[in-house]
Amino acid sequence: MSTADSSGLAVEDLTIAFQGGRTPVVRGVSFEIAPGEAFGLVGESGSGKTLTCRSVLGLLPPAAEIGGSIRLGGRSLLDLSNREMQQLRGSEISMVFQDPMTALNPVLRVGDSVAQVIQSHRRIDRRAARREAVEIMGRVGIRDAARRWRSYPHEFSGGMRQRIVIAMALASQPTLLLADEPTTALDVIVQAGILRVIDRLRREESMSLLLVSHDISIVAGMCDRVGVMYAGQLVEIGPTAEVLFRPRHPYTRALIESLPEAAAEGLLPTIPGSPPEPGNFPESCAFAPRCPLVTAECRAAPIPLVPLGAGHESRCIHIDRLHAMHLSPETELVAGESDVV
Amino acid sequence: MTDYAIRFPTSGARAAWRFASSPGWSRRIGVAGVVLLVLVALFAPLIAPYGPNDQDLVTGLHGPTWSHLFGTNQLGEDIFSRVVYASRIDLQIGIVGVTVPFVIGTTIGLFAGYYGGWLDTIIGRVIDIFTAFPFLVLVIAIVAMLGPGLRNLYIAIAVVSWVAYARIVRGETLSAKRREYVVAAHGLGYSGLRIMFRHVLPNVIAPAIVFSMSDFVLDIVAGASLGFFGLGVQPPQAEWGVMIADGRNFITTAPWLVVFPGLAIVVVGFFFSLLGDGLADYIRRVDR
Amino acid sequence: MSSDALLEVDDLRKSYRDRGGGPRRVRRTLDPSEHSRRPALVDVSLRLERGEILGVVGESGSGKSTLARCVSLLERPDSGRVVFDGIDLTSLGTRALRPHRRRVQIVFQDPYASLNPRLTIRSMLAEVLHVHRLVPRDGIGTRIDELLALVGLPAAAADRYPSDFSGGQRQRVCIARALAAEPDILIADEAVSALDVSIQAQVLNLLMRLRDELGLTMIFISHDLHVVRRIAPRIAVMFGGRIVELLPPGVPLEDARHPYTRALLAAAPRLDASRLEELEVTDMSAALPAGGCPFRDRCPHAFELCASEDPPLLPIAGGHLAACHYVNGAVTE
Repeated sequence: MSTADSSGLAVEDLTIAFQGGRTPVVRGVSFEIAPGEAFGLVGESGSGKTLTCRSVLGLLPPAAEIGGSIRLGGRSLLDLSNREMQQLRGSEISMVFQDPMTALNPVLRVGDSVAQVIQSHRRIDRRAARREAVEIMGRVGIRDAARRWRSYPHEFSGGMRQRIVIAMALASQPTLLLADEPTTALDVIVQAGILRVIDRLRREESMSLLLVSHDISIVAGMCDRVGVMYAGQLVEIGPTAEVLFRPRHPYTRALIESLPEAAAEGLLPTIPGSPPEPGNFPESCAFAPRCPLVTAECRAAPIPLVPLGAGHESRCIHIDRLHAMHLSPETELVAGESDVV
Repeated sequence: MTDYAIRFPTSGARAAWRFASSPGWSRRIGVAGVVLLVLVALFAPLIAPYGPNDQDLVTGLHGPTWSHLFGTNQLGEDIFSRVVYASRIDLQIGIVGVTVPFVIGTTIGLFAGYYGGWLDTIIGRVIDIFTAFPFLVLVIAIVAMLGPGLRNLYIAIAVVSWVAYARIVRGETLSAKRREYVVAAHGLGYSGLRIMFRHVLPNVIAPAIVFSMSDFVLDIVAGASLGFFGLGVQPPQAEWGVMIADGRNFITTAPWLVVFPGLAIVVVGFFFSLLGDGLADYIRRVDR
Repeated sequence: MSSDALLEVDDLRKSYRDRGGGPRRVRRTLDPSEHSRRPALVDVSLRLERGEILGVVGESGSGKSTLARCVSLLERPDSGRVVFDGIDLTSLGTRALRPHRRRVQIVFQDPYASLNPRLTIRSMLAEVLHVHRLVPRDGIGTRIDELLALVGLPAAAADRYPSDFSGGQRQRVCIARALAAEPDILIADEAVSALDVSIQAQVLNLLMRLRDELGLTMIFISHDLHVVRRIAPRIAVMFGGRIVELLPPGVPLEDARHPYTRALLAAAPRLDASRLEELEVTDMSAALPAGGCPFRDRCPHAFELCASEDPPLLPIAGGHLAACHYVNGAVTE
């Protein structure tokens, strides 16, 4: 199923590197998001998930070198000029960032912030734009929007600001919404509300969604498909239920088993060591130093993604031995794993 | 094992060497220049061919020759030797003029910033008052009151200069004391003194050190200015400012009386400036 | 009221001027109405027996961090008492307090700000041991090795600086420093919240192991329900500066009764949530109402009494307490 010609997003073999290519931080990432589909990108710090997300909108630092292709509805995004990309942002593709405070202009009334988005992509007078803005604010769950559009960002709490940011993102009726840790800075209950808003509106508008998070549980509730990133690569990708409940990669499985909400009592099963830093990614399996299933083969050559059917893929040569994998609560850092000694 | 002692971190010597040998031509020139100056001052008797007050009335007021590299003044004293010997006084002025205010000002700023309250309010106002006056004006005023001479110069500089250090350190301390490792030290039951000098001070002192470089030059210029006015070092002692003052009537006829001591001041300022810039860069990049 | 509890906190109150609220995870609002005296702690009382682990759950602004700071006397409460091992800490002056401080240690959230960047690990640990004369001078080196081993760091780590370590490792150093003081109570204030998931599990395990091996009394504070219930059998839920529910060991979170706790439970992201559930609580945006129950504006069960009277923390059954008119009314009926 190719989304290359439909209005979906197709990322193919995306590579991002710094320092003249010497420090790759994203390596050969490929995934597709069908129109109206929600895709989650999960990973810890240093996995490259945020950079992957930003690269779709061309929001990388100038020092970054990009390879591969990103296509939206068949159109290559990496080939666009700055001006063309600028037109795309906030119209066909919108983004919601982690920190609502810096996303909002503090000297503009929130209604005007939203109206500005509307006006920048259509010929429409200010009053009409404001009316639309109020309507959208209502749809994202801001009560009494008709009165509150006059308020300034500092008069709102973090959760409400994030709703306004979402309103701005939706104002142009984009085909694709990017959300990079949209709720990390928010309290749990507020977070749930925001996620529900995003989920509901996505389905009402038939938007595609790329949700980036370090919290795998958030992705579980929101996304149809999920990709797990580690050390700049996708190590597992597939339908959410499959990846989370029948993981086919040691890292995914270990990650899920080490969640505090995991079943049993007592000590948590843990993964010894820590993820490699960008710049220290090996060519072969990056998870090898921490993997209970590791063999010499794992360190010999780059590991390809193995298709497992139904859109489920895993970057591991020992999938058949996964059932025998046993994680234990580690006692201490294994010498050699630690980056101190 | 004095790992827990309250003392100024003596990783200073090692750190200084690391700094001196770090890359960057201007930095290395600065370091080399300063070292050179210190050596000249230390070994003045070996470098200078004549004593600073050896008079040779016969060869008075002659321009540079091979036997008198910088020429002679009206009393036949060798300018070169005088410049070399003067370096001792001027560098001394710089060192004393920096060290005393540095210690006083840093301590006061540290206490004010850490304890806050009325102490900080009072010290803050005092700092504000002093800051209203230009440095040189105050120094001259105090020396004029106390009378000329090196000792009074030191007193004047100390009284005026500490304020700048206090302000810098106080500001840094205000933000540093909120950092969690300081809170943790407090939670570990450490005394205020221990926290201030072992946990706060090393982390706030860098800007003060950088400032001290330019302060050094400022103090030398102040000493020279006062010497020029006859309020500092008294003739016949050799000091760059005094030499310039003595020579000002001969600017057109015997410019070397003024040019060489003036150049000395410029050169010192130049090297310290390079050193200070290099230090600022280095600290900014290396600071954890 | 027996006095053999290790820690007894009575009616703590604390308010902040200006920016409204003490240390917080996120600064939520600059709402001018919150600029005046904002209560961070209101009539908080609790008891902690030796060897007990108490979990404290709350979101930003709930007062949980203020509680940690007041219990350890890093900040003085406006009123109320903190009695530690029979000693009324709140009545002690600054100097008198100092020798007692080492007995209550806090591990903070941010591993990158909690360690003095200019000291080696050895220096920091030696300082603790020296200042409190915990070990004779020639025993310091050995003790440092022991402490590092206890937190799972290699002995060679002692001569490094904090900048050589990752976040998880730094937290281990912080724990080692806290343990060096041989505290009676260890308070973990969001100690694992800033760590990656896989590292979080490691440090959590470490704390649990220390709890078992050293018999440490602990207060574990977090906004993450799942993390807290993992390590603490007894859980206090905080909202608006108050403890709104206290769940004793044996009563699972699912049996919580206070509407706020139930909202937290429903909202906490869970792996097995196939789709996001409907929440009864929607608008968490406004500032807390003055007077009465702080949760009333967001509570689906609020009625007239809630506006006039701040519900006291009352027992529902056994050691299970809740501060809610609705819940307690239902019980007494």
